[in-house]
Amino acid sequence: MSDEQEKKTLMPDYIQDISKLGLKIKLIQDAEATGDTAKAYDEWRAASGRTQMPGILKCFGQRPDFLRHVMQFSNTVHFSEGHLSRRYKEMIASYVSYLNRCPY
Amino acid sequence: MSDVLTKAVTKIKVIEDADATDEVAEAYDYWRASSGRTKVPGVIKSLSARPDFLKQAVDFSNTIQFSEGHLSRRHKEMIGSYVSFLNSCPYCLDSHAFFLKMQGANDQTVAGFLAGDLEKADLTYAERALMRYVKIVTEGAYRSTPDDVQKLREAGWKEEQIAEAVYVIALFAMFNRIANAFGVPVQNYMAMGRMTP
Repeated sequence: MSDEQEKKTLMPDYIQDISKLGLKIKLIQDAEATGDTAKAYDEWRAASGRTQMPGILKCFGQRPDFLRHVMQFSNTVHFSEGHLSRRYKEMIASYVSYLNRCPY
Repeated sequence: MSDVLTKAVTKIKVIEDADATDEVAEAYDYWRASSGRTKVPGVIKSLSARPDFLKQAVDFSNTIQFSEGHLSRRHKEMIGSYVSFLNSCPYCLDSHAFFLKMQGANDQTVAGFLAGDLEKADLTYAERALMRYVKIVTEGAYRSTPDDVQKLREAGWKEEQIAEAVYVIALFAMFNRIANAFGVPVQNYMAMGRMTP
């Protein structure tokens, strides 16, 4: 079984297929980012140690100031231990994403 | 709004102004300094379990909602009011319909947003197109199509304005859920004709 087929069996088609609608609003891609957007993308790369911006963060490319806030509060409330453990937070995030039909 | 909606009861405990100490007191003071007001609103108190997140919420709300951006303050309050109606959030609908009024919307328009009946509101063609899109994204963003976005472009909205509209819709999705999950009592800004101090 290929990776693609395996993914399909794990995520129901009615969720998986949502991504087939494709991109609806233009994202500012890594290569075309300039000015403060390029700077905010670089800040994410430096903080994460990764190179390719995730799609969900590129959705915020039109407001790099807001993108910085999003990265900060996501770290504060989701990507760290709090009153809830990281594992419980990911259970919540996975289930909410399923219920809201967000395959990403 | 129905009685059920306006008779919200507190479901999750929050820290009241007078009971706040240490980091929570400091976060409440951060909101007071930012707003120039004294009485911390219920939705802000809902964040008291994480005062560090509370301060960030004050900041990102100022960045994306309480300032001019690609969209005007008035258009942001239209979006905030309509999303709050669609998500059945009486607390947010009351306060943001009041902010919409403060942004110069006439009584008929404010009444239309409060009733969720935009036929009654005094809106331009472009604003109506934007509100149709707000409804689609709020009721199921996954169902929105490239054609829905194209209709906004044809109505004159620029890509960065469409993007910012989505941020505002999402911001209200978050705050509507927080206010309704906590059961924050309505502040009655509309009935009083003013904000709390």
